[in-house]
Amino acid sequence: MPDQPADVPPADEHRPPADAVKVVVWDLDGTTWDDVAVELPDGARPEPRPDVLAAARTLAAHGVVSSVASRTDPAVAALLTDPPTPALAALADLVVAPRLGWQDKSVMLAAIADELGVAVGSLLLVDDSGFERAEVAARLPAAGTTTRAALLADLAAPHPTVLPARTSTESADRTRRYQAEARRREAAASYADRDAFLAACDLRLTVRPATPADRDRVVELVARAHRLASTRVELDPASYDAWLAAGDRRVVVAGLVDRFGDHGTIGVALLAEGDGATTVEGLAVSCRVAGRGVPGAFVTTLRHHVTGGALALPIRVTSANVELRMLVRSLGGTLEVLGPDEVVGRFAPGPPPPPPDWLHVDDRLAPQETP
Amino acid sequence: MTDTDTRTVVLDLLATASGVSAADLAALPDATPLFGPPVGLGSRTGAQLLDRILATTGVDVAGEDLALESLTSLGALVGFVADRR
Repeated sequence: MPDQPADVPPADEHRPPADAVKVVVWDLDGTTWDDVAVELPDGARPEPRPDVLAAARTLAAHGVVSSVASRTDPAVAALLTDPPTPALAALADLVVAPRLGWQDKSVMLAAIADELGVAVGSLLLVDDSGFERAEVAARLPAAGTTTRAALLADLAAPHPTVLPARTSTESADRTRRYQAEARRREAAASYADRDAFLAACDLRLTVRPATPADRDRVVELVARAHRLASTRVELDPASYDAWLAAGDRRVVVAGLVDRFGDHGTIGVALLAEGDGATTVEGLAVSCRVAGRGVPGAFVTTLRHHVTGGALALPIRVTSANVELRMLVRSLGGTLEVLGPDEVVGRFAPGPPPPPPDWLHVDDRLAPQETP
Repeated sequence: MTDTDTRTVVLDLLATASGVSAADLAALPDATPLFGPPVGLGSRTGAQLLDRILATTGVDVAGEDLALESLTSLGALVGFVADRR
């Protein structure tokens, strides 16, 4: 264990704001299980605490995934990759992007955030070591820290702050989707050429009008997406209904499937008609599908259903959504600056570019349902 | 640092982001667009490039150029960074 830094703050827990936690990162020794794995006698296995497994299941059911950061012998990872007991198998089934080694916890948490494509501020470390919580608080202050007892107490409360206020039917599948993403990365590593890998993935994008059954997922996606989000609209189920009823408006959603599994609904566009033009009042695409041409194909499909292909996309600029501005430029659009944090992406009339060769687009926007 | 040094730095960072070698990038004319062939920058790799330019040179292209006009061509990006170093 390294020397304690001189500027370590008190080891109080630091809980992120409500609705901010996307990933709970569990310490193992002394937190997830009571033993120290490397000190057990030959043949003995640590036993995950039933209350921790139950907590991880509750979190997963609400779309908050669990990860692991443990300062231990990296060989202990075999307990998760090839679990020798049913309890360890249950734990492995709930975990994504685990980190086991001798690095500082702050380094591990940063790596987990990077692998999952989420902000560090959406991580909550659960660790019964005050030193480890303090190390993370000092070196990765955006991340939250807490103890096992505090987290379990929160989950037992009538309104747990660690759980999102609203979830969709797709939330419970989030752990599976991250695990499928890990299999994709593993498969991609065997291809020297990324385009060849993408061609082998059998990527199928479906673009269709939203139905009332999509409402919760639309609201959730608008709230959760940051990198590929126009961030001008805040929605809850009531305001979503009010927005739809306020004029000539449509909601379009996109779903993605590949040979590794179903990504679910990964994109939403809130479209408004006015003065003979179509405006995308809200656009949000899951960061899980970035880097494979999907966001561009989604926008391009929308343009196919707009007279002349002209489309306006107002964007509230944040430090997180430069990728969306970049998307507009990469699709041949321009960005008009309206203020210090307001731009409008504009696509001039004309034929949109075709989707990449590796992506099949199933366009289900029938003429009577188009913007 | 000279404009030539800035060009070398930007091309190295662009090579990392795009997968095109720095030598091949150096042979391209300034008017070469960054999106589409032969550079083939995309939305994700473009954002990564601006992150790396900020970390390496201190120039915040995304923050100072909201319209991302500096991404229209190789020469425009090099010029934007050189003007602010």
